[in-house]
Amino acid sequence: MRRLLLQPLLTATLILIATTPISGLVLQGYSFSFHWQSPLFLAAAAFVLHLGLILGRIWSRNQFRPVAALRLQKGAWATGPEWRRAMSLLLPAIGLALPFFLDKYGLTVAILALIYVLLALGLNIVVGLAGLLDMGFVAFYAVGAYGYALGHHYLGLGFWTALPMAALLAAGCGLLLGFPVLRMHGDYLAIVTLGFGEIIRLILNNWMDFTGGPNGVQVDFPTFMGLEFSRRAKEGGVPIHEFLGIAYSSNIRNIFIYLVLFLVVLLVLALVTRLKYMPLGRTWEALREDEIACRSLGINHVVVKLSAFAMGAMIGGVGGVFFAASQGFVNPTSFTFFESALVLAIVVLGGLGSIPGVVIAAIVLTILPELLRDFSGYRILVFGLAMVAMMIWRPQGLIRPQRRIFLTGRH
Amino acid sequence: MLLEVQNLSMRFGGVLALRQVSFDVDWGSITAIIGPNGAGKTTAFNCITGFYKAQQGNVLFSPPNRPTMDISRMLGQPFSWSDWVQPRQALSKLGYQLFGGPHMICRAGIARTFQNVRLFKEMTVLENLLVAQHQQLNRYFIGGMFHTKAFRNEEEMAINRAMDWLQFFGLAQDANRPAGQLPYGHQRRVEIARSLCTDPVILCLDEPAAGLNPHETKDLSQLIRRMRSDFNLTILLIEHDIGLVMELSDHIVVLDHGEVIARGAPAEIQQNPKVVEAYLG
Repeated sequence: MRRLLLQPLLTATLILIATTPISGLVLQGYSFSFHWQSPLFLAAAAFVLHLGLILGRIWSRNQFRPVAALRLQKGAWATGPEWRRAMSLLLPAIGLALPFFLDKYGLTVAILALIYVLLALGLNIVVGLAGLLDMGFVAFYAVGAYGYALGHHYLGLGFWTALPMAALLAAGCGLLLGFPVLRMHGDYLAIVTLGFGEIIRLILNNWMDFTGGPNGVQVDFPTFMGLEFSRRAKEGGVPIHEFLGIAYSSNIRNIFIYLVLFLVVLLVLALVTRLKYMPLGRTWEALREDEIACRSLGINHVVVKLSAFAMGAMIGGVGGVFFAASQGFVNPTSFTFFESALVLAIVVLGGLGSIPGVVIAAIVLTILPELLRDFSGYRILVFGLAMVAMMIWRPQGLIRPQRRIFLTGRH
Repeated sequence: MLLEVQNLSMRFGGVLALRQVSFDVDWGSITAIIGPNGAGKTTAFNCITGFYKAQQGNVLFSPPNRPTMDISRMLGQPFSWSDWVQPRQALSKLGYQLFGGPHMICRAGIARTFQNVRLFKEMTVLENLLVAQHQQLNRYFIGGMFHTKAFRNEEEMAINRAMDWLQFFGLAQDANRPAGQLPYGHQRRVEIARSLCTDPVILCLDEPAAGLNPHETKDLSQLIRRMRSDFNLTILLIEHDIGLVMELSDHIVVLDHGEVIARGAPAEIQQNPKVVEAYLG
């Protein structure tokens, strides 16, 4: 009990010392006033948070002990459980703090990288886990983006309504694509999905009355609890910088999008990781390994394939909504075959089915072309060389997908 | 009778692979199908386990305490004019056409293995066995997402059940190895263990001893016998190893050119002049 309270108290004290000069003292001209409430509030919050973390850890330890204990094999990613745990806390913290240190350009790249992480995680389900070679994944990305844009244009949907709606719409399109290709494998499947991707793009390009064709659609910027991110709010709304009492900066909107996107990426990561070890995820992998054996074990391959398509498409659709929200404008040129190929390259380079590998590859492959902007003429060349080198030295991808190890002794 | 095969005919283009094949499998028996290469053994097997749709004939499966099932119906039959008069039949046909298939046969209680071992090679042995328990498991999405107690209990039960079977086959120490890395003989046993995880009434083994050395074959025949005695399984097998077949089976069906040329106990078959001419030599 003493140890339980000691650490949170220490945290609270540190927070108190650190925040008193910053938030407790408010300058008013040449004098300053002392607000003792705010640092105390922050310290109390830190105390509660830390206590919650400790209690959560104790609870989860008790929760997991009786299960046939599961541990992961040592490998490229995990050098040890402590190291892993530290990283799993540190990386989200870095990710959340990152936007406050980036300039506008950096933020745009970071948002793009996260969108590609989402797309890659979605395609990883279809290609990496279920083994269905999908060359038209950009279609679902487009459906998500246009779902938000057109939903706003015609129905007046806001960002928060559009997010789940567009995700469901994309999942529906995944099912729609899934039905005709149930009997196909490998190359044939690749060609049909490629066609599907082009069909969606051509519809968006040519249906002038509905989608605006090549002129694209304007997208409303997202709001947060009714607060807007523009300099001056429309029709009596309150812009967020006035609400928070800070100076206006065009970065605030991007920071907001980044933070929401980051949380969504964390959520999707948790979802995908859990799915991999659930009966549904296991059947996806079994389907990739051998479809006939799957059927001989009483698994309905139709359900398994459609669920993989729908789940992957849904995640791609979410990526599309964020793309539309961050760009403020969508048109069909953003959804060409090159995007599909890029996402597929990310999944293959990251290691088919390996979640950390795919995340790293997505980040590297979006940031690398930005770093190579100075050699823009040779960008694709360097990109290609990097891929060839990868295929020579790490044909399995950056990080080999790891199998879960079960401790099988009876206890 | 547990399984009744009645006048099964199957044609691939111009080749008549099965011609009016009929035989029965008793509950709790070990029945073997033998015959020269190309006699239609595997085709008959695929018709029984639902991987092929026979053009003619029925396969009736009557597991204890359950109504008799017609396997060809479960695979989805084409509609006919008489469906207009019998809408109920038409509805059931539609249902089976939409959702039917080999997986229904497995769920009914007919498990099978393959001539060329079909394991999920990249997955571990234990995961192979967990996939096979898919039908029995808790598949609630929310439960798995939040690792609820019910979900964890079921997962643990599945792991234990899989380990039981692995222990039975002497493979417990290989549980966490990728299935593709095991030696061939072990892979065969993993495949049998995996099909047993579907909780079948009848187990169909397609050449279980192919590629095994004499020692492994002997172990296998003991295992097959124990499967029957300890777990009340009925076993139907295709095999080329005549020694194994004669030693194991209660009932033998001999196929040649898609036709049944003999049926009976091992001793009768060995004496049958037609069988000696066509196969035993």
